Amino acid sequence: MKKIPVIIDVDTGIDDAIALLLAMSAEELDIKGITTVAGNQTIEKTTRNTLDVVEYFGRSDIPVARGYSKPLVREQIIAAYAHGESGLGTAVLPKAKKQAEALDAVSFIRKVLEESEEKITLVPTGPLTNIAILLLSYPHLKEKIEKIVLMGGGAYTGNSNAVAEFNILADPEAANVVFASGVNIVMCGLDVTLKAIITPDDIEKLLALNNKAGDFAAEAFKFYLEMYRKALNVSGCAVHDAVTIVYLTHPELIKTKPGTATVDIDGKYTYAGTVVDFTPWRDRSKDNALVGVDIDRDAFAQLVIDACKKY
Amino acid sequence: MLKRPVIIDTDPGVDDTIAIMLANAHPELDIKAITPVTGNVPYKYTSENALRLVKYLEMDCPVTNGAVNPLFIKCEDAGSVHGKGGLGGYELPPSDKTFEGYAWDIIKEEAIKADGELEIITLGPLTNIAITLLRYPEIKPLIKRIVCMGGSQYDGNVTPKAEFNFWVDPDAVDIVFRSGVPIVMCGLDSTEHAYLTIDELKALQGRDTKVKELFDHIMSFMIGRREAATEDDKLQTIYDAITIAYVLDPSIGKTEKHSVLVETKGINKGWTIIDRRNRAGNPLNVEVLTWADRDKFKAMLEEMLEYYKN
Repeated sequence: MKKIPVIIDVDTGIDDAIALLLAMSAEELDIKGITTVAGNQTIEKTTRNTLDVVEYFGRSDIPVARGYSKPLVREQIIAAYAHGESGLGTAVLPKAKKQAEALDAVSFIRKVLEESEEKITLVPTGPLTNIAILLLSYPHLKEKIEKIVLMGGGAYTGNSNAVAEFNILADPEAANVVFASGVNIVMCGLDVTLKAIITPDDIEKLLALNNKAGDFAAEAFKFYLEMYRKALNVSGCAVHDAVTIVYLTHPELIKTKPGTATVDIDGKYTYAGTVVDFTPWRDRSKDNALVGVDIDRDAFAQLVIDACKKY
Repeated sequence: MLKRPVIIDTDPGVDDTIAIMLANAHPELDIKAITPVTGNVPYKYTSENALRLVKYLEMDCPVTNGAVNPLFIKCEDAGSVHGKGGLGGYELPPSDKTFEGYAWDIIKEEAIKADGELEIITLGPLTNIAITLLRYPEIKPLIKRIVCMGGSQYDGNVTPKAEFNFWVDPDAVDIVFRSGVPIVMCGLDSTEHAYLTIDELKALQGRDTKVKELFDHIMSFMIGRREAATEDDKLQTIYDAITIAYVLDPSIGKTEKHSVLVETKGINKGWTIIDRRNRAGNPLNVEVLTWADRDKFKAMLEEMLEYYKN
């Protein structure tokens, strides 16, 4: 089977960690590297968490490169309310010996793209700072990018506010650069990711695996569940970032819709909103995104459990 | 002689061309690279003009690749002001040089090499410099200063409040002005003190120099535009050249340090808001040129023509 070459750009993060668990055990993917960015937590913490996850789950072979610590223009925000002070909720991992690459994230991605004969898929699950600076600095490399499968935005809802999703709100100008770049985008936004739910029953199944991945995921989800209970009064948590990986490994589980997606950087009330034009009578030749709209929830949860089983 | 390492970031452009001629006539400026950017005319012209100009002036420095578009907004140019192709219709002979690397990568290298002494002179929109500061934030302390032609103290040109270079990419200006790197702003209505009359432009023509054809053509282009202009618009300012003149001889102008913000949105995008009261106590981030000495500037143009004399 031909593996899909990917670079995953993360702000680990509870759901980033689960996305990495899925990706690192997926036969379908050839992970060329993982790059980090500030988002859910500061760059120090997201990089620390990424190194810890990669080493603890036996994939020290994958290079990890540290990216930017601040958004392009706006003041920094982080999501400690959703991911805790460490970024991984109450889950604690042994401190990895593995170090980040000497190259920064953008230099690392540049090198991989330049040296690759095949096109590579970028999978950002955090703010788009690294990807925007890559596209601004080395526009010729767009040709080497197969597509960008990202977690961010929402055609019909926000989470940080009524219209803005956290990853986009954390660096709207970067998102604007990426969405306007001409590179094809798969937008795994809140429209689909809020349907990618892990329930307390699933967590019981993870614990029953009685292995380190199941225990880690269950512990991380506990913090997440509590946050969702408080914020939305629901019993279940959305594993947003993992949807990007499932889109690549099991596209049949996700329903997408083509649209023209832009990121507002001017609005008084809709700043950082992703505006997706689906209207059929408009010029469809400008469509730049496939927007995730639905997912097979049960199959998704089973994939998470099966992935943990492999460790 | 102690040479000053500089980068010239430019969108040639008729006044850019005179500016680069002036800079090149002063060997104390060690021009490390010319970094073209979109602006006066579309990037394919500004970049090609830069490449050809470097050859024409027999300059020994690389011309890099630069930003084709502003950071976040659509590109708009000032074509009619600079004539066909950006040089008033003049076509420079092709160059055998090719573009080398990207502006931000070369600026970074030169900033490190110069160890705190590198000056960046910008004659166009600040897109390349903003990308440099985003890509390599660690070099900020190594940039001695950024001297830019752009903005205005009071009135704009492309809109009532905005000057063209800053209006093209206000987000880039915002990034540069908030970067903490020392800035000198040579704006519109301050450089305009160093205007030239139609007769003065004419008097500069016809000199027997190595650059006669190009220089005289640009003078004719400017004279033509001034002659066609309304009675209250007969004076010509060679904005970018005054910026270079200030770099060469700060006594040509007067400056004041102020807290300066740039509007990035709405009908006033590109307006450089000079907060003279500064009640908020914000950092005085920009040294604003408030006046320029037209006699000194004219003398520098004379000296320049002398330098290129056959």
